[in-house]
Amino acid sequence: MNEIATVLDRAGILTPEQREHWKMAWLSTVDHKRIGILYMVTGLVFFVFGGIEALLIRLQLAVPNNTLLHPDTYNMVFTMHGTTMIFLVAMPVLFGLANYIVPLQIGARDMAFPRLNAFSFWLVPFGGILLHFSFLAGGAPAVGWFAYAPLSETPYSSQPGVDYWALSLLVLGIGSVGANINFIATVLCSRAPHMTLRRLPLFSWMIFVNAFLVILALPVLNAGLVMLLIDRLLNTHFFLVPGGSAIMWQHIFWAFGHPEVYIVAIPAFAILSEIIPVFSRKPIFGYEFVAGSTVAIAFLSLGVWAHHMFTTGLGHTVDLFFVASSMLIAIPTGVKVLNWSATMIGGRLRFDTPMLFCVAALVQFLVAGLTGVSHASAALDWQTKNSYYLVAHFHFVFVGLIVFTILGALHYWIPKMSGRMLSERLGKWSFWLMVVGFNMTFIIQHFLGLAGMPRRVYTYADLPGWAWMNMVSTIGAFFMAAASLLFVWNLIVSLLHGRKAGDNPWKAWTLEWATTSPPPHENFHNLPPIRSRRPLWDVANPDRPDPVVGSRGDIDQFRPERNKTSIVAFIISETGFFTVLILAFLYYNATPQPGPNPHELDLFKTGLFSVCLFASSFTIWRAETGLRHNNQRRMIGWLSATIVLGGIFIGGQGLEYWHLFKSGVGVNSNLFATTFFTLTGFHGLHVCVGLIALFVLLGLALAGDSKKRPWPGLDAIGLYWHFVDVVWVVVLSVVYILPRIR
Amino acid sequence: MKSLTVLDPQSPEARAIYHLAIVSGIIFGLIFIIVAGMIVFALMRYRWREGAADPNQLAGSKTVEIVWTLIPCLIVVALFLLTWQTMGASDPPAPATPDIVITGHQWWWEARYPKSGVVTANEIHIPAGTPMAVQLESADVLHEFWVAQLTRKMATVPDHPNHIWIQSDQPGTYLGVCSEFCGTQHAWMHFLVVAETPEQFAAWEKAQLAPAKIPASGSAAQGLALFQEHSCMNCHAINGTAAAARIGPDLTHFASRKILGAGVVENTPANLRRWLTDPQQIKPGVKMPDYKFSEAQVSQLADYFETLQ
Repeated sequence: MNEIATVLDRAGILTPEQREHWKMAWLSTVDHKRIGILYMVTGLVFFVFGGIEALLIRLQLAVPNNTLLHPDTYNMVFTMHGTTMIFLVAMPVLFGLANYIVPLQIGARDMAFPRLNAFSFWLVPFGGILLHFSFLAGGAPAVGWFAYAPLSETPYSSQPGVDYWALSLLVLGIGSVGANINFIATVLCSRAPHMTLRRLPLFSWMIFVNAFLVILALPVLNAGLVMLLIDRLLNTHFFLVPGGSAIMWQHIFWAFGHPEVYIVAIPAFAILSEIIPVFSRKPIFGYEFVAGSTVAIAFLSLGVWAHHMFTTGLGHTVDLFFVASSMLIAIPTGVKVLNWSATMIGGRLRFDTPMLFCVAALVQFLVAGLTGVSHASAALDWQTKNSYYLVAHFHFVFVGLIVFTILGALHYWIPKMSGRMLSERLGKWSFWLMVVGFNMTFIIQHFLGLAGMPRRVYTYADLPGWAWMNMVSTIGAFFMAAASLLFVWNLIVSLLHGRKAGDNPWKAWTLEWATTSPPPHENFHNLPPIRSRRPLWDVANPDRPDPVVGSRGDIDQFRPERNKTSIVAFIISETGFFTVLILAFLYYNATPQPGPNPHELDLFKTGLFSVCLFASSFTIWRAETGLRHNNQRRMIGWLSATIVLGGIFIGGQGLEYWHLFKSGVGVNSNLFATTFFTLTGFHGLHVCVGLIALFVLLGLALAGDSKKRPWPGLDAIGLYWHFVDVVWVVVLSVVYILPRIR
Repeated sequence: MKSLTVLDPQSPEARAIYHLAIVSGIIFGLIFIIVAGMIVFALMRYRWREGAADPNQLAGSKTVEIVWTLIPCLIVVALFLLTWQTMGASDPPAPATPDIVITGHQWWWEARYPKSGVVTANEIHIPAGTPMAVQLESADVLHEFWVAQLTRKMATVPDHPNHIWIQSDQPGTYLGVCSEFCGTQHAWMHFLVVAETPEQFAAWEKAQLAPAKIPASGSAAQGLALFQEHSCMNCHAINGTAAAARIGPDLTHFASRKILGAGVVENTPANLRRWLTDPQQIKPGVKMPDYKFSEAQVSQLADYFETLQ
């Protein structure tokens, strides 16, 4: 155990007192470096689970008409494989890496909110355990990672597996949003003085852009999961006939699901943009274009989801819109690939393990991109969708690009984290095993798909060519398993006995290499001057420094307050959540239906308590003014008034619910009742959360805490409270007023 | 041997997609060769040598960026137009009334011919050379109808009928599958499309419309009696008997069909006996339970089903 303690100690920079209780020190840490490592280790543990599931899939498919696994077991295995690899491997590892690297690259001491950071991380093991607990609770979900309704609904999946799946994704989704609000606040508010946004290293820049994508996309999934859970647990029918719509689930899921692909791909792009220049000994070709194309990709990715639904029957007009938007993404993506390739031209290429993984990832991603365009072409997708051609395509993205870049990144940055180099010899062995194994497994699957093999079949007939192609694929999978084992072995051996890394083993140029390996607890003792995008190049080459970006002494003027920034980011994410619920209300109530309807709602009474809520926006503004004028009594008075008004609103809503329940209207009465209770209920929940926050503020203020300057909590909570009011304006119009006008 | 390949199209609809695949395959191939060639060139030409100084620190070129943004734009426009054209050719608008209504069930296919009244399962007959309008429906969850050699694939969605065309240039038998995951036995939700000459097709329709013959005596008659007194009738229909349920496949002309259990085995007397002995053994999870028939009962039932030509 002492060995482990020493290694962990080196990686986590424990003080002598902490060394005594190193387990506790890791469990209770709020340091971004240790949290980053915890994320990655958690991801690695789940990678073992997901990897074993992958091998089981390939073993079952190795020969035709195989009976190794029962069909239900096989269906659970592929569902868990997909869910695990995306939510419990790719996302945690990439967020962990970003957690470790971003604060260092921007010269910060830590993330903007260290405790939020720890909370976001601990939701990952919690969600993972929740998901895997389903094995003990009557069987894992067996519905595929996108859990298409109505198969995922109670009549067709009566076991609780899907409930655990949805709950766990909800937990993980909340964790992801928390982590990425933190990235946004960190990049905006915690940069070193001279690290302007235009000087940001591309890795940090892309993580920053990606964070916006996460906070926009994940809440959409959360809304869908909530609706699915309400369907399953409260017997409603959002996605079940009669009345409900299976296609609605697809829209919601893919409105999250396609951005999700980029959520894990953009960090991979970020890694390529960092490693390829360093090992080409040249700056990235076209920094602005690589950065700008990331924004374009993130933006476009929000409007392409229905290319997953070309065979659902949406009609040619809708299909063509999504053909166009999906093909457009190829342009910024192509620009990126060409820029990375151009970075290598004219360079001095060093083929250390990180670079090997990145070059392979680049070529494999080129293939993935091209087959991706073939899926964007609806007519081709009408044949290749849901076949092994599609399986091959997305594994070229998820493994060919993402896993390869992650391995490259680990070989590149682990020396920084541990202070010791990984073995190049073992690294190259695992690289070649991985390249051979990966391409053996997945190139052939394109052809299997063209030969007609559909995905998610637990076995298959001995059709022409299928048997040998599947066998080749299975053998390749075991090469990949060997490569992974070798990597873990390399990790263990090198952490214990590796060569000392020194501060900057790769002669790289960004700030994380300007500090010791591993960095001290406070990250930097002193920072080099930051005038360009490559501060360490300027230090090493005083005779030919990079051109200055901005003006020489530029201190970034744009440095918002972190509490407000985080609340604004949080509001952006909540907007996504409520947009889905509001659109769902509009969609499901477009035609009147038997049972309770909007006309039965009491607009007058609701209007009365709505006025109280709107008035509370005024009172909290008065409280803020009071604080600004340093008038404690006035501030506390207005704050109390806000709480009273909010309380009246919640009381009024409770009364309305009570009357509805008494007259026999429940959440499962009809789709109006379902959407009404879901939308107003979640709004009410947000009001309650706001009230709790206001009570905390009031308590702090009464205890004299608000005499401290600055006291940013009130402004931040005020923003949230205004947001809750604005949502109610929309809900009131859509639920109470609009049906009366029509 | 039957095949599912998309590379051997047998209808104008499938051929339109195939041609687009060839054209775009060539475009993608060229792009791959150019870009991968550029990367390989860099790997060969610009290797680092011990002691080499850092190269010229070229940080980009606006002209180059504009050029390689515009070229993909043009390619994308071309691919979009080609896709648009192919979509029209491979999936023309549907008529008001379909020729065949196909319903996906967990885990088999029901085919109804509304114009003649034929109902069958897992084996769809069409006249060669005539496009047939198909309406796709679902009885439970999502399924996806895919006959790679004949037409585009399309999902069956509850309460959302979809429409496609199916046709075959020549007489022949084609394999189809469900390609959207639909539960335990998604893997065995195959079906056959049998394209025949118009005369053969007319004869087939006529034969399918005839009620099942009632065996007068012997083992087959005992089989029919068994069929009627057990709960078989709760799910299956046999035209000419009291059985009229539409939960499971229509069995009126069961013996004329080539596959059993939606393709899990061929429809032979031996397989039929295995199936009746314990369907769960052959197709685990199938909705038909194991009735624990005795060997004699299996034999009588099988004898009866074999008369259902």
